[in-house]
Amino acid sequence: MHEDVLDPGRAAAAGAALGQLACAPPERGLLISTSRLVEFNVRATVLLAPGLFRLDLTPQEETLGVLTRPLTSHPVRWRAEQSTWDGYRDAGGVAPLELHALFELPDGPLTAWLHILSFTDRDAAAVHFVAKAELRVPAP
Amino acid sequence: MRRVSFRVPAEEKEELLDALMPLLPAGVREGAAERGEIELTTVAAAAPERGLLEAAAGRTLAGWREEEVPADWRARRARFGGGAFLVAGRVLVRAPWDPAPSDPAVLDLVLERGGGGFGSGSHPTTRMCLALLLELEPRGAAADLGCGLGTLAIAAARLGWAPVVAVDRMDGAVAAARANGERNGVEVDWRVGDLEADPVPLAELILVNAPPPVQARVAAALGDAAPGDAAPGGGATVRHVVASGVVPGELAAVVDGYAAAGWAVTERREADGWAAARLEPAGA
Repeated sequence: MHEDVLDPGRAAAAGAALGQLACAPPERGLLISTSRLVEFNVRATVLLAPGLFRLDLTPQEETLGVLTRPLTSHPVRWRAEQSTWDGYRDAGGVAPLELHALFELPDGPLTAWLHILSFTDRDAAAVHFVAKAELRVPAP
Repeated sequence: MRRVSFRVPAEEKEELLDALMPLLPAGVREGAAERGEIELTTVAAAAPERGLLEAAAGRTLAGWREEEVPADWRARRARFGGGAFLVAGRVLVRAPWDPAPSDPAVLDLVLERGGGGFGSGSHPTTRMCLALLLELEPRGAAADLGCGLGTLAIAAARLGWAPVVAVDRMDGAVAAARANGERNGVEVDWRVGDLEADPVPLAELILVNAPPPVQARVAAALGDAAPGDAAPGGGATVRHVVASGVVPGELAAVVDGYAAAGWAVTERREADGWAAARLEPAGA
């Protein structure tokens, strides 16, 4: 199970149309990285970890819709660093968003740390997203 | 730019999107459900291959339509809509490039975004405040505290509340709100002020789409006058408070603050993780 979901080749292939990059970090795990320009009111997949989750973002002028779609039937718990969310409406800067997940897989847990930067371009009615996900097997 | 639209059964939408989203880097715009189906639209420099999407979905994508559309999003919005918000079927909040309402009975609020101001109508709190405002008989003055782009103040003025005062701490927002007021032909006393520190203007109707600290200051200002009595200084008899800008978990504390001043909730709304309430003098 871990071998499948941490396979960078699989992640890169699944996210190929999205321009998603994937690689294995020095320690065991998976890094996926991408960027996307999304128009207001459009739902776009920003990160795709096959067999684990898909992150869809729907930017609006004053709110950001965040959907973590599970791609596994195994339990997963998500939490957000809510203190970092207030910058979304501020078009003058880059707003960071952090999400953490814990996947309870049959061969042991897997953690995910998602870091998403957004920059709202109101003149273009769109938001630039730069996102990465780090998937790791936690130390016992 | 190519615009492609097709319909999927509403109850299967998420499962189909599991297959389709990885193939649609420009994403999808979701239409409203009609007769059990949802229209999905994508706009990109090159149209996605229908065969590829249908193979991924494992089904025919009904109503497939492909057309050339303007690259400029304003031109696309003018043609297809999608940026305006209809509240309670009575008020349309839109940008200048969005289509005007076809029903002359709908109140048409035209707002230019700018100045970092809040209140374009895209946020649930703005829409809930408008809905709660629409249920009131216009009678007397109104104060929009934390006015952002001026949406609520302009709506109040258009509905017949007068005079209207509006306050925000952001210079840019007040400048944008003033321009929006002129655009909508209303007279509003636009002011820059810090509602967490400056005196709170009171009126028969108070609209507070603002965070809890501002709500607490408004409640304290109300507490200086008995409910139903004229407020000190301004001479207004406050009759209604429409409060939002808070999440459901914050609303209880906000309501407690107003209750301490003698006010009670008469209407409560929740939408998309946000809360709003209308308050009147307790026992009124």
